[in-house]
Amino acid sequence: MSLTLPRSKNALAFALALALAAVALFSSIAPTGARAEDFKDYEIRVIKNKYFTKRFRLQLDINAGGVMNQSFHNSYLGIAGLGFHFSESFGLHAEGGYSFVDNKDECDLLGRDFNINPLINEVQTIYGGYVSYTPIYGKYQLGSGDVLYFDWFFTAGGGLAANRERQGGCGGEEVTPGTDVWETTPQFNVGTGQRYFLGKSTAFIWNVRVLVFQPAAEGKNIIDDGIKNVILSLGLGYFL
Amino acid sequence: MRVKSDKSNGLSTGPIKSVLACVAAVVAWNVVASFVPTVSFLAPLVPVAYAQNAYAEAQRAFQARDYFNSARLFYSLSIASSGDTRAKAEFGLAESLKKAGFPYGGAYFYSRIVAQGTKNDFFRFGLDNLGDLNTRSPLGRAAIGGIFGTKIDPLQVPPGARGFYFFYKGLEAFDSGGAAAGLGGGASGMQSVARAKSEFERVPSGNPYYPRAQYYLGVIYAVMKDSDGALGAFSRVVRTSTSDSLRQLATMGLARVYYERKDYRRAFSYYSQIPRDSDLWLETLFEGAWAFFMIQKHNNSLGNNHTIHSPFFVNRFYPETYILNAITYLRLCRYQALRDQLRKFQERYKPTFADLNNLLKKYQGNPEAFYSVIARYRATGRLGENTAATEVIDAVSRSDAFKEAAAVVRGMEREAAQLRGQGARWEMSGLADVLRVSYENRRKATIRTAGEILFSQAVQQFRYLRDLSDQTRLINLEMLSGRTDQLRARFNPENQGSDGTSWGEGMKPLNVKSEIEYWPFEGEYWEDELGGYVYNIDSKCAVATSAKK
Repeated sequence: MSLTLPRSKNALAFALALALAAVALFSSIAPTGARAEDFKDYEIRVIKNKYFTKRFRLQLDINAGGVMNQSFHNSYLGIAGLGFHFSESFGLHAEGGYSFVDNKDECDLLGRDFNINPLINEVQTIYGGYVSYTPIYGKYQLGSGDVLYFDWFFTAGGGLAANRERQGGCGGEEVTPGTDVWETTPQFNVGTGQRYFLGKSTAFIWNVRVLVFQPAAEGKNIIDDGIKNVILSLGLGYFL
Repeated sequence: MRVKSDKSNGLSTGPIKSVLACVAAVVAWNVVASFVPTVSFLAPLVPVAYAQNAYAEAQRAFQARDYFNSARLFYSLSIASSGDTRAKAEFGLAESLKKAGFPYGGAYFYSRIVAQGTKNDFFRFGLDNLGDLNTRSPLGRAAIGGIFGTKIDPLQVPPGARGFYFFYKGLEAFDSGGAAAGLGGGASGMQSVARAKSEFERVPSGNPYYPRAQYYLGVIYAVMKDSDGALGAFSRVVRTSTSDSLRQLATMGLARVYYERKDYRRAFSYYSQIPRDSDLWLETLFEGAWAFFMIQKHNNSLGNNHTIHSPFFVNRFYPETYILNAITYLRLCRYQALRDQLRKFQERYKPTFADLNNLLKKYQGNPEAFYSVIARYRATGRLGENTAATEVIDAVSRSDAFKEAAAVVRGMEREAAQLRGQGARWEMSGLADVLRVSYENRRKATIRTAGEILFSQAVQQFRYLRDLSDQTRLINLEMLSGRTDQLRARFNPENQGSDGTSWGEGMKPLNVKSEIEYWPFEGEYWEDELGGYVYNIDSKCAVATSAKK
């Protein structure tokens, strides 16, 4: 049985595009490394100390997320991260996450009523590192008059993912033996997100990324057979 | 005269009847005296025993913390007695009112004690308590002036009240000549200043009035051109005051002293300490703009004024910013921009001038009504008439004179309302009437005194505006007459070299090691950008000179 692209992927892409448009329309943004010469043609400029600086600061974050593009199961992730920002633009991060999985109704329906057992790739843990690049720094003025600063970052990284490829388990029947073996395989990921600065040390972070991991089954490789998980996470970061 | 005697039982009943009649009269008199408040002129006839009993009863009520009852009892005793008893009763009454939550009521009776001078045994306690009350609920200049109208020997002032006494004596001397001396008021003004100085110096360290006294001393030293003395006094205020607003005023004082010394970097270091949410923040920007002008940092000077001209501060009165901008553009040989500033000044302040003139004519001689205009503006945020004068009314409403008067009036009205709610127990004795009258009289006196001060402040602003208008006309005339170079020379301070530092937000030097952000100004004012504007224009003088050639 072939599976069409889940609607959730289209919806997610649309939502992202809308968010980008809103940011462009309603905020004031500047390149992170903007300097005086960038605005040399303006008669009046604002020169002020940056509200939130990340350079040489440690970042601790805790996030909750979910895999958005799996048809037959829900994966809820808890991810903890530790990073260090070398500059306002670049940072290096390490992270580890654990996933809680349960079957979707579709899986139960197929298994119970039709005795169809789709092949499901589940991730249990992910860990690794990534580089973050922050090209954009901006602000919103809220209705109350308060100003909310944010930045926009991109990430790229990799590591390992403990995963399994299981057949069955939908509708209560047993998982086919041999397909429930957990293996740790390589993964890489790319993503984007924003940090909204709630104070001088804390930030609300959202992040969406595509994590590609090599399936646990024998003979498969990450390039040809890689499983793509689109993970959306929300969390809080604390900067020391 | 023959007295018929009853000899029925062999005794003469005539003398017994006389004694009984006397006792009955005394008892009847005591009953009447305790209930009828208008018999105070007969006070000497109240028997001593009655007074002692009444005092003891009042004391018992006070010690049992039944202050409403003790106040009633003390009041009744005070009007029915004289001498020491009356003095004790009045003091007990004042204490009871204070404890019952009627500080202004208590202050009224303390004032009566103090007004009697040292012959009242409770003079020192009264003065002590007045000083203490004033730190928590301002009594107002009108009331305090009345208290110290009585001649008091300074040696009789108790230690606890020395701060209160000498501070207000200093203030009295300062008001009578201090301000005038600073503006060239002459020898008599300087004498008053010297007297004020000696009074303020007698306020002891550690006293609640000490920081305020030191602030005024700082101002006096500045007027006397003793900048070291001024710096010392203002620094002491910053160290010892627990009031944010007083510390900020002293910080401004330090900045201004350094400005006078032409040590502009130090001046900026103090101006930049005033937080954005302070009432003084705009003033620091304005004075900082002048300091930037003096060190030829024209872009920063124009940037500071740009914040003041933003829509966030549309009702704030800083007409001189246009003049400063105009002479800055003059220095940069940007004559069209100069003319624009003069035009903007006239457009903005010509209606203000006219409406302010109307207001002053209407309320001249009627300080109470003028006070009401200010109070209504403060309460509603709008001026009901002559609306173009809003900026000036706003400036006057931010003055200390209005704030103090408003606090006193609010206090009086709050106690009067409290009296209506809780004072029923005092109606019979007449205490409620006395308090009501005292609140009303004091409220009226406060409003009248404050109204006079506020009116004179408004008149000063009118004259200030007129002077600035004359300056704009002078600049225009000089330019039309082609005397631009002479005009430029007049506004170039002597020996003012340019400062090489780059200055950023908050009048602080830019630190290249810290992260700086730049935003373009495109006509939109963002609240977080206020105070951070810096112009990016250069001088056209070389071009203008070669064009002339």
